[in-house]
Amino acid sequence: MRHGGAAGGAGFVGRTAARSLVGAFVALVAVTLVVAVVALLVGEESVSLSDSLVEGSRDAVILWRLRLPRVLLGLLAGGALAVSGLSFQTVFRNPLAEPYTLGVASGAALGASFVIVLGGGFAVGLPWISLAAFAGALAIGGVIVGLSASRRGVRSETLLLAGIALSITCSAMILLLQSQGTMDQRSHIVQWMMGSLAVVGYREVGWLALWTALGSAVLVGHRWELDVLLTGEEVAAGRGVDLRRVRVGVLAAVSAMVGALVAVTGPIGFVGLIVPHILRRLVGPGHLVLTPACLLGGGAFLVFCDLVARTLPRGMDLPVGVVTALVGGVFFLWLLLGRGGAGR
Amino acid sequence: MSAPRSGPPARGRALARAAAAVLVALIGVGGGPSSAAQGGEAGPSAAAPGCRRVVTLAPNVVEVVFELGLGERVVGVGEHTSWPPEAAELPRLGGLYDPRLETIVALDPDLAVLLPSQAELAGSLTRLEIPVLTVPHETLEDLEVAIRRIADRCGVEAAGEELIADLRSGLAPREEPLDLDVLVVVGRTSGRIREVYAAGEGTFLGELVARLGLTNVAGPQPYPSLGPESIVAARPEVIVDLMPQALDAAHSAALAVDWRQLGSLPAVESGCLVALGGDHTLIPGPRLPRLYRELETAIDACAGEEP
Amino acid sequence: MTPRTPMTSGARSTSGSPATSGASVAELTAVEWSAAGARVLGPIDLRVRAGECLMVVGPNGAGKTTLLRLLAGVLDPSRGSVLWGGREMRQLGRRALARRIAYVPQVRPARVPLTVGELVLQGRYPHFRRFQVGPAAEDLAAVERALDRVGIGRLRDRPLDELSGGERQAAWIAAALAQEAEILVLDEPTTHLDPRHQREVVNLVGRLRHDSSGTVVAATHDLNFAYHLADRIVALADGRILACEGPEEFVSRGRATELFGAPFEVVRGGARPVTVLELGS
Repeated sequence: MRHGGAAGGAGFVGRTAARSLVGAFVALVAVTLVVAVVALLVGEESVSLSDSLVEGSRDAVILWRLRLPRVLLGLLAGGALAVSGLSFQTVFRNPLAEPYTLGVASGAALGASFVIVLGGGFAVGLPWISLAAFAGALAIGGVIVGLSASRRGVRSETLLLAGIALSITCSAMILLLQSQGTMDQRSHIVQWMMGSLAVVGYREVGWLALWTALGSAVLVGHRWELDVLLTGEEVAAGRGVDLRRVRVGVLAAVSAMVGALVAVTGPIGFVGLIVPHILRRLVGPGHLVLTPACLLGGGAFLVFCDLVARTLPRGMDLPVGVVTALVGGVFFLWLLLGRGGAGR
Repeated sequence: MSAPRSGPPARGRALARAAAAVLVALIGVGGGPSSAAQGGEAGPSAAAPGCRRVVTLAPNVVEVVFELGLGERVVGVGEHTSWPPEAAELPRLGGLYDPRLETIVALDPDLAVLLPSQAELAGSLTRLEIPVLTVPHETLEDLEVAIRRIADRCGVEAAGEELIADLRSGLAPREEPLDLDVLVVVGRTSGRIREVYAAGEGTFLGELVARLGLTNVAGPQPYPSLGPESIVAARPEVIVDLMPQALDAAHSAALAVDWRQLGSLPAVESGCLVALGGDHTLIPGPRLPRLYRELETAIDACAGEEP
Repeated sequence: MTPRTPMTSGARSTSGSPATSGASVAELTAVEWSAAGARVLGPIDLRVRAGECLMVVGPNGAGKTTLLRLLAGVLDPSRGSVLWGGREMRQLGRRALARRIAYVPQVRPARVPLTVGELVLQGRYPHFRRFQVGPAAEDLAAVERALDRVGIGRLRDRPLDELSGGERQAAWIAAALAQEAEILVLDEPTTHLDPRHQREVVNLVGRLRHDSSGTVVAATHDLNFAYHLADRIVALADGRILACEGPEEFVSRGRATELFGAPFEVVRGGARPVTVLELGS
């Protein structure tokens, strides 16, 4: 079953593999639902479901204007991060690739830092911080997409290194900005870079839903090409895959999607790195199956980590990014060394 | 904890509204601008201006509110609030930039006093129909503005003017300038001197040392980070270490020892290494006169020792 | 697609080699390829004839792989033109080209997380339609044919990474066969294999040739492999074609020694000649 459902999709899955694939998805959906419901019912404050149905009551505000949007935001952000990480790992044929590898998050952080140091409130109903972060992410994404679109044919290793160089440059500029700022601004930048799913109402949820849907649609549209890329760029080119077009499509989709989500949540790490690896072991490497699995699993994982982060005892408050790293890192290591010892 | 703003029971409607909101958001038409999200001094039409249940995350604001005699109206404070002691007993609402929104809502506040840098929180609270008052906090003038705004909002204008007058007399410029070059350190690595954050001229600490007649070697940037080389080049005659926790003699001595690594600084040679500790040293609030006196006493003493 | 899909048509052709008879399926005219301003290959003129087995030999760095990559459309020529069935690749499109030429590169990822069946199915990529959700019946049938012809049906569900080197090479060739192209391009198919597996792969290529009269272009360091199967041998040196001739001429003119600068002893007796590298000084 480890290999079930891979590249070929349903056609190549033997009878048992098909059954266990369905099983895996039923389990994923069930886990996601359970995590989401628990995350809705548990939080900083205890609320009663029946009181929450009284319009305008304290519990209604907490449950429907704070907690539900937060859970939905977590589902969307986690899913978007996981599918982005998955497609980068395939396109760059690098198990360490993740949504932030190409510097999109650093670009966003640079934009946010500018606003934090220069000050700014709201424009068109969104915080300037978010708008600037989105702009920063798109700028970096644009450079990368532009490079990958060049006729001269840039190798994916070169793209990867260019992304890392951009990332480092952005980080240096953030440090420069920090050195110009007040103590408050410094801690604000640090806090922003840890990421958070705190949200009020559904505007950000809608915004992220839109981008996640668009980005995922592009990635699913490239499922065959991504599958063929598992055999390497040389083979893929020989099979008739237009590497340049696939790269441009995937990089543009991921940059826009990750930029939109980092603008809202800040750069939450490790989800995009670890979730695809875990699910690849569960449902195989084929993108037709693995992409929806990552959407579900990434969301469930992030909501779970956020639940842990916000229900830890007082005085142990952790940013959600630290929890994703702790939980994800330990779980993945267990999978890698323990259960997965015999696997690939 | 608080009386919920109860309305008539309308369960079905609330649920339907929540569902509709989700739907609208998912379709993606919820992204338009909304006037309710504009930050600023107070939410538009936001509940009648009140000051009966006050929340704030900034320690200096807590001190001002208590100093204005409004302590009983404060219902929640920031994570690191330690003064006054009564305030430290209140529910904690998280840090400046990672507030606990649910706890804030649960306290049902009618006023949130925020700093200008908390624009995101201001937006969130406005969406939650919690009135917001924003007060500045970087300079001494900012402090007066903050006191006045809070006093006005809460109807204690007289107390506000009184507090400002107290501050002004407590921070009056020294008649006989101390006339030394000073470095005010607000954060640094202990042990080896590698990176030092200093208070620049425009900050409230910079203003305090200016009023003592001292020359600030940190320059015009608010809180520049200085390396050992630039400190040696600046040749401060007095170095002040400000620590957020109370210091005992051993700790003060250890702080002084660190500076000796830099060798022949005037401040090291003359022994004019001042360490002041306590939660009042880094907060631009009503306890600044105390810090001002401590600075003056300490620097005056070591300046006098100079041959 | 074109009715001419001989490599996998399954239709047995008349025995014997139709070699030199066919029209050219690919035509390289004054082709050059440069990297960073330095010319790696060319100028080269070469016609690949329908149904022939063309072997490319030459020392390391002679440009064998570059030639195959140009032929397979993986590289665009810096100068000159490559025509497939009389058309330029830009007019043809990459997927259309992949329906004409199937390429098995020598350098492949060390780890490929697929089973043999999945790998072979990927060979159908150039035949997939844009909105196809899963493989169509004809794709599955093509996979079966490819597995059968290579004789690795039993390995279908085995992970590629767990196979022996020879089995793995067979799987990659089966994937290329599933592409149902007219030309099969193999880059050093026997390199890194032990003698038994080398023999199996050589026999496999011979069988594929014999069964279906498809066109095969292969680069190799194994001269005897070349003599054994080639209709023509392209001797490549320093990016230029030194000679393009049948195995007999290649051997009788002492091309091996000329090409590699090393002494070879010729052994005759079988249907095809054999050369043996003389060791020692």
